[in-house]
This record gives sequence, C-alpha cells and structure tokens, in this order.
Amino acid sequence: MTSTVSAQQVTQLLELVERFAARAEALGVRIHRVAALDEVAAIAAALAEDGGPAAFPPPRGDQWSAILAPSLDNTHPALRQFLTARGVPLVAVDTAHPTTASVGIALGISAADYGIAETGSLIVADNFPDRLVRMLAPKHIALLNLADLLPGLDQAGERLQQLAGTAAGRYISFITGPSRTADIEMSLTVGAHGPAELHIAIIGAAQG
Amino acid sequence: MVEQRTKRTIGWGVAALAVASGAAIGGVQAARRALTPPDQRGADAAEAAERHEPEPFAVRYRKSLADDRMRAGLLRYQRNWRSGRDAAFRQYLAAEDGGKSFADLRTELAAVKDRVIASPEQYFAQFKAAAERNGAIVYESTSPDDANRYIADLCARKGVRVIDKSKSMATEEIGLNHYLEERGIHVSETDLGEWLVQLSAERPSHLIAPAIHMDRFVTAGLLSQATGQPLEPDDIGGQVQAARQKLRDDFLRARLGVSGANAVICETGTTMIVTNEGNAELVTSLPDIHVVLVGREKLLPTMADAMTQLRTLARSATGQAISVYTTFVSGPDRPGKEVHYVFVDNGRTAMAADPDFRTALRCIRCGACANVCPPYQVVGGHAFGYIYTGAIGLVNTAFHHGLAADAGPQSLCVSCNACATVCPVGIDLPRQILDVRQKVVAEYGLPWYKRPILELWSNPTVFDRAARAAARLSQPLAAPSGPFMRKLPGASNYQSWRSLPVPAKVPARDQLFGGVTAGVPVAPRLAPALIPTKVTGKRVAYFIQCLTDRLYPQMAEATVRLMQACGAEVVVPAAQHCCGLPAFDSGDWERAKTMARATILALEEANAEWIVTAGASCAVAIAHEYPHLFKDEPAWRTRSEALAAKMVDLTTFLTTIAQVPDGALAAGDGEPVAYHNFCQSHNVLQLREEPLRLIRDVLGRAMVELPEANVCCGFGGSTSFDKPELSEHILARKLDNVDQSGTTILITDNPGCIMHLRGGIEASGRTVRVMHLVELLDEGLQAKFPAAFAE
Repeated sequence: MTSTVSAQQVTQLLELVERFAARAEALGVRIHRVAALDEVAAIAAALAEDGGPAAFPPPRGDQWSAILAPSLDNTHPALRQFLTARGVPLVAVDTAHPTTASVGIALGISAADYGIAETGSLIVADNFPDRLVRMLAPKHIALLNLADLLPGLDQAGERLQQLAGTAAGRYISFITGPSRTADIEMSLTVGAHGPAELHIAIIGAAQG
Repeated sequence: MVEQRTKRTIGWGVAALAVASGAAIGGVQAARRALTPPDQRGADAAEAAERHEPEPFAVRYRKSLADDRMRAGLLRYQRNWRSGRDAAFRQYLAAEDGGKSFADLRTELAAVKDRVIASPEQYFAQFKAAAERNGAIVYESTSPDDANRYIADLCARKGVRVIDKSKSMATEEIGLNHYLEERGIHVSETDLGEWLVQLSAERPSHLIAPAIHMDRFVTAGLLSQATGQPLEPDDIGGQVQAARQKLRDDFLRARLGVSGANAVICETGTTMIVTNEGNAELVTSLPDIHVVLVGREKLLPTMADAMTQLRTLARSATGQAISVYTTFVSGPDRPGKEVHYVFVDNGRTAMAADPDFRTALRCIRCGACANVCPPYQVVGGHAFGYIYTGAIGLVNTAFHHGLAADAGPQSLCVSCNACATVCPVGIDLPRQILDVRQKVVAEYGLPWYKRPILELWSNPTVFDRAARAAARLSQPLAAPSGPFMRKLPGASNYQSWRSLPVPAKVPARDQLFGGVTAGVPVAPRLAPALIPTKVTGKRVAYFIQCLTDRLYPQMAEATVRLMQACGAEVVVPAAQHCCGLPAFDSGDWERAKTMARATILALEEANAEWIVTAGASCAVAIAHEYPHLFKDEPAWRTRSEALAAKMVDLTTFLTTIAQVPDGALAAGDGEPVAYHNFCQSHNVLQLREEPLRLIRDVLGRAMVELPEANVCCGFGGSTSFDKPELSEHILARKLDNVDQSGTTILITDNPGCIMHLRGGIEASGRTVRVMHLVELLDEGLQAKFPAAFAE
C-alpha cells in the first residue's frame, strides 16, 4: 500500500510512528524501525535462533524454526530468500494439523494491514493459514508499512467498513500487544493462547 | 430449642427498643435464621444441583461469608481495578491526539444502544440480511431450550463430539454446557478463567474474571489435576503454560467452536469479540463450524459505533485502552466453513418493553459495577448475583431467570450508588435494583420481622409514643462508659461488632417546637445573624431526620444555629415525621408512599424558599426518589417534583446556595480531620469538593486523606438490619481505611453513617471521634463568635 508519499506526509507519519510505538511498547511490544526487508530478515533470524521461551515445547531436532505466512510470498517475495540466505529453517504451514505442527517453531512471521496510533494496535485482515502463523508460535513478528499507520480507531472503523463484503474483510483482528491473561489472582502473564512476544517491524520508519 | 426460644424472646425485646430508638436494628437473628427466602421455597440444594441451577441463595451466602481468602483477593482486585480504570480514562482524556471524557464517552455509547433498544426489529432485520449476504446462517430461537437444541442438533448432524468455547455469558445463561454434556458432547472452555470454573464445577463469579474468587492455591490444584503435571501455586506463569499446552490438544479435536459476541454490527453483518488471551481467534478459526450465541441487545448499527464501544469497554473492564485481540468475523472465511448465529431472547423483549428497566439492555458486560460494589467485595459473585453477577446481575436476573432467583441477591444491595458512577452506558442500576426489590416484596411480601417495624414506623403518633417509651426504658441499659447500650445476650450478630446508641432523653422536636403538633413554628433563636450570606433574610424550612431527632438532638441544634448564623429565618414544620426512606429502601412502596405524602404535605405547608436537612440520605430520598415513587400518580408526582426543586442537603445549602465565604468560621487550629464522603452524597448528590471546601476553606481546618473516602461504610439502611454480617465486613474495610489515615476525628454528613461508624469504633475499642459536619462547623461558629453564645 506504499506509493508516493510527500515529505509533509512523511513528517506526519513519523509523528504517528512515535505515538504508535510509545503505546505499543508500554504493552511490551518490541518495535523495530527498519528501512528495508533484509533488516527484518536479520531480526527474524536472531529471534528464531534464540528459540521459544523456556516454558514452550522444544524443537524435535536441534534447531528452532520459523514459519512464514504464505501470503508473504506474494506481498514480500524477497523475504523468504533473505531468511534462507541467513540460514533460518522455515517450515510450511500445516492447516490440517495446526497445533501439533507448531511444536519447535519459535517464530511466526506475517504482515499487518494497518497500525492504529491511538492504541498501538495492528489491524490484520488475514486468511486462515496466515492466522495460524501469527497465533501458534510463541513469538510473532509483524511487518507494517509506515504509510499504513492510521491515527485512531475512527479511521480503523472506516477501513473495516470499506473491507466489509470483500474477501479480505471476512476475518479481521486488532492485535494490541502479546497474548495475555490475568485470570489467576490478577497476575499478568503473557503467552496465554497466542504469542508471548510480539515484534513489529515498521518498514520505512528508518532511513536506509 | 429452649435456648433458641429464649434468644428469640430477648431478640424481640431488643428489636422493639431498637426500632423505637430509630436504630433500625433488632436482635432477631434466631428468628431470621428460621426464615425461608423465596428462592428456596420448594427447592433444596440437591434439587437445584439436579436442575443445574445455582444452590439456594442462603447456601451461597453462607459459603461466601466463610471465605476470607476470596474476600481478601476481591479487595485487592477492586483496589487495583479502581486505580487502573481511573488512570485509563484520565490518560485517554489527556492524550495529545484528542481524547474524550468518560462522561462524553458514556453519553455517546448510551445513545447508540438506545437507538437499537427502541427499534430492535429494524436493526435485527438489517443485521440478518447483511449476515446472510456474508454467507452466515441466522437462527432466532424461541426459548433457551430451543437455542440449546439448535446447537445440539447441529452437532448431531455434523457428527461433532467435541466443541470448544470462548467465554460467553449468554451460554451460561441458557446452560449450554450441561445441555450438550448430557447428550455426550464434550465441551472445552478455552478462556483460562472459564476453564478453571468448569474444572471446579462452579459458575463464573464475575462477568469478565470468572475465577476471581479462586486463589493460586486453588488454581494450582485444579490445573495439576487437569494437566497431570504437578504445578506450584507460586508459579502462576507455569500454571498458565500448562493450561496452554493442554488446551491446544482440545483445540485440535474440536470440530465446532461456540462464542458469544461483544457486539454484532448491523451494517456489515459482523461479530465483534474481544479477548486478551487470543482464545476467541482460535475458537472462531480452527473448527469448521462457528456458532455465535447472542441477544439482540448486542446489536450495534455501524462499525463506527463498534469503535465507540471499544473505547469504553476495555478501559471500564480492565483499565486497558483496548483488549489484546479484537476479532471481527463477517461470515465464513474459507470454503467448507460455516458460521451460525443463534439469537436468544429469554426476557429481553420484556425488558425492552418496560420503561423502568429498558436501559439495562445497554449493558456491555464490562463488570465495572461489580468492581466498585462493597457487598460484592464481601461475598463475591456467587452470592451477589445468580448467573449474571454484580449490580447488573441483580437487575437482569429477574428477567432472565425469574424474580424468585433474584429475591436473595437483590437483598445484598446497600444502595450506595457506586455502580452508577462507573457504568459506561449510564444504566440507573441502583434505582433498578430497588425496583426489583419492590417487585420481590409485592410478590413475596416483606420479611415477617420487618412488617411490624415498618407498620410502627409509618404511623407518626404510634412511632412518637414508642420512641419516647424506648428512650425512657433504655436509659438504664446505657453502658457506664458512654451513650451506648450494654451488650445484650442473644444479639451477638448485631452487637459484637457495633455498639448501639442509647436514644436521647429529649428528642430534637421538643426543643424546636415542643408541644406543637401542627403548623410551621419558627425555630427558637439559637444564634443571631452573624455571617452575611446569600440566604440572609430567606425563609428556610428545616427537616430534622429521624435519627437526628431521636438519637442526636445536638446535631439538630447545631444545624439550626448555623443556618440562623447565616441569616436565614428557620421554620420547622411541626407535622414532619419520617420521609419514608426505610420503607422505600425495604421495597415497601405502599408504606413509603404514605410517609412521602405526609412529608410532602408537611413541607409544602412551610412555604419556604428552601427545605434543608442535615440527613443527606433524606435529601436523596425526597429529591431523587419521590418522583419515581409517584411515577404512576401524576398529581403527587408533580408535587414531589416541585418539592424536589427546593430540597437540599446542608452541605449544598451552605456552599452552593448560601455561599458562606472562606474563613467565615475559621477560629484557630484544631486537630486535622478526615472526611468520609457518605456514598449517596458523593454518588447521587455529586458532592465532591463541597464538603472539603467547607472544612478547609470556610473553617480553615487541616485535613488528612482518608483512603477510599467515597466507599460505603456498610450502614446501607435496611441492609445492615437484614444482613448484619455483610454490614460488618464493609464497616471493617472502612475502619481499616480510617486507621490508615491516622485521623483522630472523622467527619461525615449522614446520621446513619455516624451511628454505624460510632458503633463500630466503640465496639472495636478505637478512639476516633465521629462527628457530623454540622457539629464541626458549629464548633467553629461558637469559637469564632464567643460573645454571641456567652450564656
């Protein structure tokens, strides 16, 4: 969704980035301001190598792997090559056995459609396989284009309304921080059902 | 048995005395035990369990009172919630990108919800059309059983043996889990709290924190057993991870997912579900069939309206700006996927048709009403509610599960009105709970021990005679140490934790209009006009209030003196009696109306510019409750509204109306004081800074902060009489806060609180002095103008 963006728009967007990042970081999200896709691959490689948090199921072999949202091959075809070049083991999404297949996968990599500065949320309009990628691994890194930052929920609501009735509008999520629960004695614990770590790489938010 | 009879006899003696003294407390515990609340008639615990209904209220109440660990947990929960929620709204308002105030957000969302409540058919039709365009199936069930049947049939048709669920109160409401399990279908709850409650074979005790009544020891036991891994209570992270792994297996097996909905959006045919855990994402994604169970009250016209709801929901629920996952499902998202909507009515249409209860359908199930509720903190949601918990549960249970199911829970409300201040859709919960109480009394009658008390109270002549007799008879019962009664045998529930006052020998009325029984005498001159104010030369009628009259005549004297010092001409309608609050508060509208009519007549006759009382609860009753009490009697309604416009509490009178200037009563230093802001003064009369201004600026007195100053003291009118154990716990919270403040003087503006606080402080051996605000101000007045009061 990036196209030509004027200098003034860039300034406004950079202000939005600051607000977005401050609010997301307050919830424990790691924000990565990147200039190019290869930087995302570098971050992803490091995250995959670190493995999953201790409490999560260890890999069957020696190495933790990552899982790439299938649609990224269309929207960001270079990413797979960058990851392979850095030696990140990638496994394919198994929609038939989604939960057992997630054992040993440290990181899911997928794209977000928009960001909401008001709340530090991502908007993700994704299909079933992409959704599995962002939900099942203990860590998730989401790609977000600078130009897709929205000021607030009002603009988010407008986008949802526009998407209504389209294939992409069938299932949309706002994601605001890592999965969490406070159901036991109000003790805040991350990684309840979804990822315990959420990383957002904002592409275009750093000068290349 | 003999012992019990003796107790009962002694109890009755105490009751007669206490009634006449205006204390509204009687030693009737033994008799009370013998009572059978309406929700237990013809049903015992075993029968209830067989029908998968909650245990009888009396059992739930007794169990909850025994659970000190739960109580401590709920106190922490309420305090954390309060600070988190307040900060969330404050931050949003202060945000650089333009936030709105809580009040504005509330008005906005309430208006949206009201549009739907007014035209449910139109919005439902719009939603149905949009959902069907999206490829979903929309089914309108005819009853809870029919909704259950639809889902069970769907499972049978598709060969589904295992379903998973994200948290849904609607499924709790219709008993879906039991219905399916009886038909051999395994139900897996995926919200951690909901799963814990399922594992312990209980019900959610809170709308959004189902297992908040458990502590980590209980959860560790349940999860160890369920996962087969030994889990340490202190390793809560480990407990959560074990649950995650176990539930993943269930996700894989489930072929059908059931969710509720936080909203269903008409223009797009969309379901909106919020969770923090992300379980709804999995429940609505992994199985090939997704069933949404929902009531029409969840309809929202537009996606923009959904954003409005999101702005208030999580802030009100958990103090988050927004929940972690907000899921918007608009029909099947892949080939072979099915989305079904099952709409359930179960009393909602009846609610929408009832003008007194319609607004309860605005509820967005945030749980805020429970999070500020003092009785909820004491007993938790299993007693303070039925299936739905918290203040909203006390309202909608009557519609969803019948009046009998609400008879017990509604009796726990202390009418402090705290819920109304945080409800993000502005539901008049306290009033609706009192309306439910009225229905319970109309259907099942008053508790038998209350009938003679209210009968006596509602007759001014009989009451006066009894009160004078009690004052005479009780003097020998006074403890040597002060104006409290000695402890009496057989009334330990009532007296072990609070001392009861001994009535005054001479009631205030004798001093103010002794011998006169009609007309509007001018009050005796107790002070010259000393302070020029906006009420100088104005005619003001004084409404004494029962407890002030019979127990604390010195407060009446101070009130008259202060108003006269402010230049007012004070008259005292001689026909005045009780405003009717004890009857209204008990759900006895007939006697309340009798007393209200008499009060209206007496006060109208005064022909005064203002009617002032130092009993803030009476000001609330007369100004805020009378018009509702007479909603079906237009002539009296009109008169009560005219009276309401003149009726003010003393604090409002001195600040807003008289505008007593700063320093007017300042006469040197005194010990710092703390202010307990009587809950209805704060929550109904909206008195926030006013009393503090009187103390700090007008009187020039130093203050210390009282933590949770606006939280109820536990008096709660008839509740302290009906549920003394509850009252005791709420008082303990208040006194703990008083201890923390370090104050030696506690000020408030309601005689009921004063009686309760003085009693609790005396019985616990504390030495804090409790005074009415008017007594403190009067001390200043007399110190500032010694010449005027030299005898």
